[in-house]
Amino acid sequence: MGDRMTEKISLQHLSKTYGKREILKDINVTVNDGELVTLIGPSGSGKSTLIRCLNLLEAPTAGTLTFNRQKIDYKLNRFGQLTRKSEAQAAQYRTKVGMVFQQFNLFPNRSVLQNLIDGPRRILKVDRGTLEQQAVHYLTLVGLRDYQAQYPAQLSGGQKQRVAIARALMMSPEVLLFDEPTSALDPEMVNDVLRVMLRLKQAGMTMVVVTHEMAFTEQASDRVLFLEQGQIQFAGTPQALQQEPATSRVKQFVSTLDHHLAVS
Amino acid sequence: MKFLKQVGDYIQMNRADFDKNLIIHLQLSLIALVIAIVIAVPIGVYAAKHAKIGGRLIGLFNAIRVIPSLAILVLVLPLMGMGFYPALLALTILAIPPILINTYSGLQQINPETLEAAAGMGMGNAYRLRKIELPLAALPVIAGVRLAAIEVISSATLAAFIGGGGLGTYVMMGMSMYDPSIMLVGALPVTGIALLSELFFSVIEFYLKKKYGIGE
Repeated sequence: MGDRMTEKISLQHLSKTYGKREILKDINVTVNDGELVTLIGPSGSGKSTLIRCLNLLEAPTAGTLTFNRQKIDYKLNRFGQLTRKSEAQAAQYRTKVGMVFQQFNLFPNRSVLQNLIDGPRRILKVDRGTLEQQAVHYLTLVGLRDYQAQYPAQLSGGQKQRVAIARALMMSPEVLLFDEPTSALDPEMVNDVLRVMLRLKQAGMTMVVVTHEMAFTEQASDRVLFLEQGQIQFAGTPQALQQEPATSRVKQFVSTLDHHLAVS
Repeated sequence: MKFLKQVGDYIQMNRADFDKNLIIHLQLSLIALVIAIVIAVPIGVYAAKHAKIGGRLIGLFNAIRVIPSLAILVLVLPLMGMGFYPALLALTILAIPPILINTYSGLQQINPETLEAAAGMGMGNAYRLRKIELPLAALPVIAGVRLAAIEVISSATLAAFIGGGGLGTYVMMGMSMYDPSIMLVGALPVTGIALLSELFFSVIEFYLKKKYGIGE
């Protein structure tokens, strides 16, 4: 659980601009093995952009990205997107860094089971039998064992998100990124998803989570990063966050959020 | 009913000739449709992937769509003369726009976030296109092919005007002989083929919708 402090994924001097707008300015983040790091901040602060830079869905304008201490090379074309070659390399890299999205983004034309096994079958070339076993295992983990044959349109938001988490796990990632995984959910579904995430944390998964769920943040994260106007304004443990003076920007921001959640 | 009997009698008496024209009609329609699919789907994919050129391409093909079928058939005359192949070329040109435009819009309608999820899993562009995008665009593409099929089957009737043969031969013949029953020898089977084609594509669409468990 990160005791050995093995560095997993790291951004150094990262910046991102769209035209003249600076979204991220000189960001330095290191996530260690088994750590859960939460990213909080007001909307427009660059949280989503930052987490998307971690798996190169967004191409940083400058800065280095390392994974297991190895530099991930990428080059940009004149539109500020990854070049074709870099995109292919990024695809390789992304198999190790899974992503869970706010809007689930399941493949609507594929059943739950197919959603889970399509990716690893073609990309990791694992055989179908093994994958089906694995799929049942992960669906059980997220509490949806009996939903294999359903299509995404037949599921509730919370169920879709749990399928999306199972789908991400199927790639056997070393890191999981969550971009506001519960923001699109009805309140009663939120806890189902957070509980699954807690279980992953206990199993030692390295995770980066963009969220507004402060109870989860305080209970589950090893470190909290507060992002505002493209810069990290606070970085520390949840305890350190508590001890920040009430006048600090991070405390002011946190006080605007709900604390109603009790994750069991 | 008298007409119908006359139609039946005419076909009986000219069996070989009727079969020949029926086959030419089917060949014209089917080959034109297949060539159009082979040309239109890749261009549609290209257009959807390259926003700037794509918009112009779609505009161009939308314009082609406005030209009446007979005009296109006649326009190929000075280029290729009379016969089967000029008719085939004209019909292919007619069939391309609906397939191309539907392929384009079908791909455009896909939620970009779905594709991002695929990219986020490490699926490459080509793989993503094959396994996610084209299946998701299948319904609109089939709808385009369905439109194109009707267009081609009915316009193939006009192919007779430029010597392409087919069932339109009887329509022309009937008109010049003032004999509506001979016109029907051409018109009725064309109607039948068109209805069958509609039925065929509805079945495919029904199957696809059912398979994906979605209404649209």
